[in-house]
Amino acid sequence: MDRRRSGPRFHHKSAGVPGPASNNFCDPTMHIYLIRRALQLIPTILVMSVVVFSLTLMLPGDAAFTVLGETATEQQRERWREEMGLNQSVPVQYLRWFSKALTGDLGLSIRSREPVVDMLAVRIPTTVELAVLSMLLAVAIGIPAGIMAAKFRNTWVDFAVSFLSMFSMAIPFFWLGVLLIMIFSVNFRWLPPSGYVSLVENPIQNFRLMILPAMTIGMSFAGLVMRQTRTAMLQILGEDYVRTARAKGLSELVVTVKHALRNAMIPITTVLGLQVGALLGGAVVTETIFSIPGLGRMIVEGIFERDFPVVQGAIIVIVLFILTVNIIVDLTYPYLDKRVKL
Amino acid sequence: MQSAVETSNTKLAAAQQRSKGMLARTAVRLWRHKLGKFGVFIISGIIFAAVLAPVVSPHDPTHVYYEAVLVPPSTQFPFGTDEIGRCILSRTIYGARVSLQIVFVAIVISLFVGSMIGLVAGYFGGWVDDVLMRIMEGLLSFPMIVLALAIIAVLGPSLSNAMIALAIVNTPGFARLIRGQVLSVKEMDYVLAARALGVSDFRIMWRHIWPSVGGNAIVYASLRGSAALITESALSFLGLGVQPPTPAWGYMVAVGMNYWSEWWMSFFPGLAIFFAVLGLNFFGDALRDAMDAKLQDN
Repeated sequence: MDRRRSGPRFHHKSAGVPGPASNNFCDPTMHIYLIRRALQLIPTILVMSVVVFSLTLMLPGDAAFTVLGETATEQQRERWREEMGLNQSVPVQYLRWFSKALTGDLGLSIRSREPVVDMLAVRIPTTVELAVLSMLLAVAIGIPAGIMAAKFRNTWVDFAVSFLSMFSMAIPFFWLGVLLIMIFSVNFRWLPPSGYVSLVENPIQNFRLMILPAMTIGMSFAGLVMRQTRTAMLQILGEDYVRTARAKGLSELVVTVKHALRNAMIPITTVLGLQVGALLGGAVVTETIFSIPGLGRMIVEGIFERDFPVVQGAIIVIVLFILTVNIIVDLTYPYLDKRVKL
Repeated sequence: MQSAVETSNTKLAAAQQRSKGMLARTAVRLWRHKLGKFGVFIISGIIFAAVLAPVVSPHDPTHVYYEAVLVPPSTQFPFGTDEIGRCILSRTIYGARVSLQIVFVAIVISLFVGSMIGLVAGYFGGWVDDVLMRIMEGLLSFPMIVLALAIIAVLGPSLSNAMIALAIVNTPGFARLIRGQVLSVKEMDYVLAARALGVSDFRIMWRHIWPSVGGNAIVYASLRGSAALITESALSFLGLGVQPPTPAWGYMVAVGMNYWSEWWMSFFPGLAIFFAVLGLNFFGDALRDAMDAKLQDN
């Protein structure tokens, strides 16, 4: 975690810091680094798979009864149990499931008999779009506000930003979503309250449908971004190199953005990266509020319908996505701070 | 060289500038300091209302007023009534009981279990540390709500299962925090002395290491409390937490979504969640600042 501090630092390639020799992606040592990071993920993925697999315990009692109903004969039930592999011991079932998952076979939805991976393929872009829009909104609001608060410290600007950020971090995002619908859809009738149209099909309608959901998550998240930006900027604006930049006669804007903000982005990106999980968690509930057919709604509907393959598939994708984002965030550090070598 | 008049004008202008800045500076400082007290005030108020719910509520939360269905806020029903005819204020007050109960129990359990795991992992190190922390990291790779949903999916939605789910979700955070603290305390002289004297491992962990480390756990607990509250209300919002007819804030907000013109049904329970979270956040921040101040004094 050492490299997540901002400020002057003196890394040399010879300083024994593990990592690739350069930051070029074609460099073979970069490949080794990426492989090493991927290997480090293995224990995490194993634990995750155990947790997700235990969802098969979701079907209480005799699963065959639940799925096939009471009219099925005992023979049919026995055949179904064989199919599902429920007659084998739990560790064997786990290994069967895991090896199938590795080859991309995540089973069939119990309700619709549709392959889970097909369902995922349709829903992943939707959730990704929601997550990206929310993050963009949070950053667009949060970072400028945080900068303002840091530059005008202990003035009314600072006070207002801190107040707003507390407000934003306390507000339950799903309540905010409901309020937004009440205000903008029901009251003013400016925006549709729910539904989804894909970006490819109809960009304008897609945007109109995604504004409120993105605002729901983004506005809740902006508070944290504001606070983190303010803290990071405060620390950096007091550093010597900022004073040097000012002394050189650079305009305030250049000093703030090009020098201070650039270095502040390291702790800010760290926090953003750590919060991607929370963002996706928010997306899960928000998709339900606005009837957006994404991964989140897949999980919730899957739970209500006792459709465990569906729930498993969606959770796996979400966790893998978070782990990937963490690696990507780590990869951006060298670009933000040229001194940092992975 | 400035004339006497110019000098005094500049001085006056500078003084005015300073006092403007000072006023704002004082406001910010007072505000920050007051926040902790405000937070304690809110939380105490909510706890008070929850404990004394039968006394404080204007009506019985389960009583159905057949002739007063979907009534907007009025003197008789300050928060209005719901679709069945129950007083929303009373249900909100009783809902506080449910939410506080779940969050409190869940956080206490996760603090206890997580700290134990962290102590053991940090103290013994080696493969014990590796295995335990790998498991904790695996759990931490899930978003809180998603992991809670997964656990509820297995156990079924109920009040006690919500407690269990939240406890499991919050445990890894405590484990990681305490482990980190233990690692730095482990090599301190008083611990080494105790080991040299042959004090048992358990005793060292409990009597010598934990007291230095416990303060951070308490601060973390108060900060996690607000996150746990939001997760709990999100669960009941989805219908996967506390089951009706027990009043739960999140669930009440969800029900209000079917009655868009009856805004009070979603508004007030959500407002309650907001204030509870706000209070916990203020309190946690103040606690953390107090801990920092103490450390700075030392």
